[in-house]
Parts: sequence; C-alpha cells; structure tokens
Amino acid sequence: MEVLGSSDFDEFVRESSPGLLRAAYLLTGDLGHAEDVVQTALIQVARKWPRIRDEPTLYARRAIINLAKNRWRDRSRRPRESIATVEPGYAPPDTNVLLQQVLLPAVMNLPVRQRAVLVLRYFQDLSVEQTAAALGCSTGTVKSQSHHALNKLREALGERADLEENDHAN
Amino acid sequence: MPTDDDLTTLLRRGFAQATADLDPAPDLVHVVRRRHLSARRRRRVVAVAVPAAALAAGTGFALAGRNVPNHTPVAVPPPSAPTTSVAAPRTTQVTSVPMKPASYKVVLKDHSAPPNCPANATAPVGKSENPAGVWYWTENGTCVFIGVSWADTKPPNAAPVQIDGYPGLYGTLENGVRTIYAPVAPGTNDFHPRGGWVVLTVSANAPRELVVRLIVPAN
Repeated sequence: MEVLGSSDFDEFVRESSPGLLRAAYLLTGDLGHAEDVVQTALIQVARKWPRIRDEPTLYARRAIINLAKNRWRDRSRRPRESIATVEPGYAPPDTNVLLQQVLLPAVMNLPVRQRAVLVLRYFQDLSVEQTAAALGCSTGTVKSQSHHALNKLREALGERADLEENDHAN
Repeated sequence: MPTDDDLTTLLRRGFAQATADLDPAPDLVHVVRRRHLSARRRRRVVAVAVPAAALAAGTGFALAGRNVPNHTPVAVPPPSAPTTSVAAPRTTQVTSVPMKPASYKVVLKDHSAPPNCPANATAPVGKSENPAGVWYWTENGTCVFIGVSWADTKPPNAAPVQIDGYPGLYGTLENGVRTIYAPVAPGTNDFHPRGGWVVLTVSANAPRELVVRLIVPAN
C-alpha cells in the first residue's frame, strides 16, 4: 500500500494535525518547533502507514512525544523559552494572569515526561490507560508522574500566593 | 492550597487558551508528502549504493592490507539500512506530487581519500582526489572508478538518458567512455551558484545504473 496514493492518509493528516500541533506546542513551548515536530512525526507516520493505518493516532502521538523529548534535550544549548514569554500572541488578551505568568511557565519547567502526562491527560483528555499506551509505560507510572507534576504546579501556585501576600503586607 | 480537581480545571483552561488560535498550515498535507518523497529518495540511494558495494567487499576482494598508506576506511551504513527500501514505490506513483525541474547533488563527497581503486583496499568504497572521483567494488568483484567533474553546459551531442527515478539526465558514449550529465539547479550548489552540470565518467562497459548511484535528486 503506497501512502502517496492514499487518500485516507491525507484525511488522517487533515483531521489529526490540529490536535497534534497543539499538543506539540504545549510540549515544546515554541510554535516553530511544534510545526517541525508535527511534520516530522507525520512523515514517520507516512513511512509506516501500511502497518499502522488502523491506529495511526497512537503512533503519531508517540512520535510527537519522542521528538519533543529530543527537542527538549537540545534546549539546554539555546536560550530558555516558555509559552508565556515566547509566544504571547497565541493567548487571548483576556487570559488569566495566573495561567499566563504562573501555571503555564510552571508546566514548561516540568520534566518532559511529566509534561507529556499532563498534556495527554488534561489537554487531549486521554484516560490513564490511553496515556500509558501513548507513552509506552505502565498505568502506575502515569499516575505517579501526574501526581508529581500536580504537586510541582501546586508548589508554584503556592509560591506565587506567598509573594502576593508579602507584597500586600509591605 | 488548590486541590487536584482545581489544578486540573485550571490546566484544561490554560491549555485551551494557549492553543486556541493554533492551526496547522493549510498546505501541511502537501508539505508532508513532499518531505516524505524526498526522504524516501535519499533512503533509496543509500539503500542501493553503499550496501551493494559493502556486499562486494564481503566477498573478500577488498579486505586485505589494513596498513595501506594514505588510506582511510569509509563508514558504511549499518546492515539494517537496505531494509528501508523494501516499500519503495514505483516511480509512476511519484507523479502525484508537483515536481520541480530535475536537479542533483553528488553523494559521498565528504568521504576519505584513498588511492584510486586500490587493490588492497580495506573499504568497499572511497573517494579519489586526483583524478577526482569515487571508486567502489561492485557485486561482481570488480573495482569501478567514476570520475566526478563539473561543466557549465552539456555538449550538444549529449542525448537524454532514461533511468527510473532519475529524470533530466543526459549522456554520451565516446571512445570507450560513458559520460552522464546530471543537471544542478541554480542556487543549489555553493561552488556553482549559477547551476550547471555534474559530469560523471566511467568506462563504457559499466552500466549506467551504476553511475547514478553517486547522485541524488536535490529537489
């Protein structure tokens, strides 16, 4: 089966690419990187299409996560980026300050695996089992990673609240 | 302190807001197809060229004399490389993608520079500086040297050469020398920004398909 002559591959790209791009953006924190990651992941899907055409989304998600991990490793060689500071134009003007200045930057500072768990669970609305399948790990790992990630976010929000209290006190 | 439910509600809201305006480029399907096609062409060339030479070397013709002066073994792709070509499609299906004018670049140009067709080579393929070109051992156990040079124009007597997957080639066959002219589009070669022709020369008894292993489409 040849992907270049396959209209169902085109259909898959059209239907899945918005969700994949948004997930990639949340994983990488940079729109340019996200677009590149999605293109590369879809090319990997194209190569495997005859074998994975029954469940291409799972393969594409895994590809996105792995590519984002690689990007994240490379990030140490470049200036820090975050959703809140790099692409402010992509948040609506009425975005809650708490989200923009605290929560999303805190998400970007999580280890990539924890971030991936949050994105899959709370952005793509996958179940624990589906998230485990996408990450290639156990459901227990998903739960523990999610637990640790939420604790870190809670700490970040708590620090913000402490700072505000101190500001008011002064 | 916020509960897990509070946090996940905030997260969902934040994720939704941060990505609300993100949409893929309208031509994503076309871009993916083009990049897929380009990557597949590269895989086909790698899968055919170097492993075939490695196979020839495996027959024992070129494996003696590891202490040859001025000779550096050339890296050969891992054995798994050829399997990527299994799903290579027929070229007739390639036509569904809009094509640019044919343009090529030479592969193997960064490899080491051993002597020309050394009888005791330790590698199945290598590059020669003088004369400029590449040699490698074929499946038949013979060493073939392919000269690589440049021409701004092709000679008027060059005739179109039809080889599957390699459009736009021209060639001549004169005085026991087969010459293939591969077009190079302007702006694709740092040394020849105005474009021109890569000239590949080989003895007349070498098949044309052997010669084009040294080039890959550049667009």
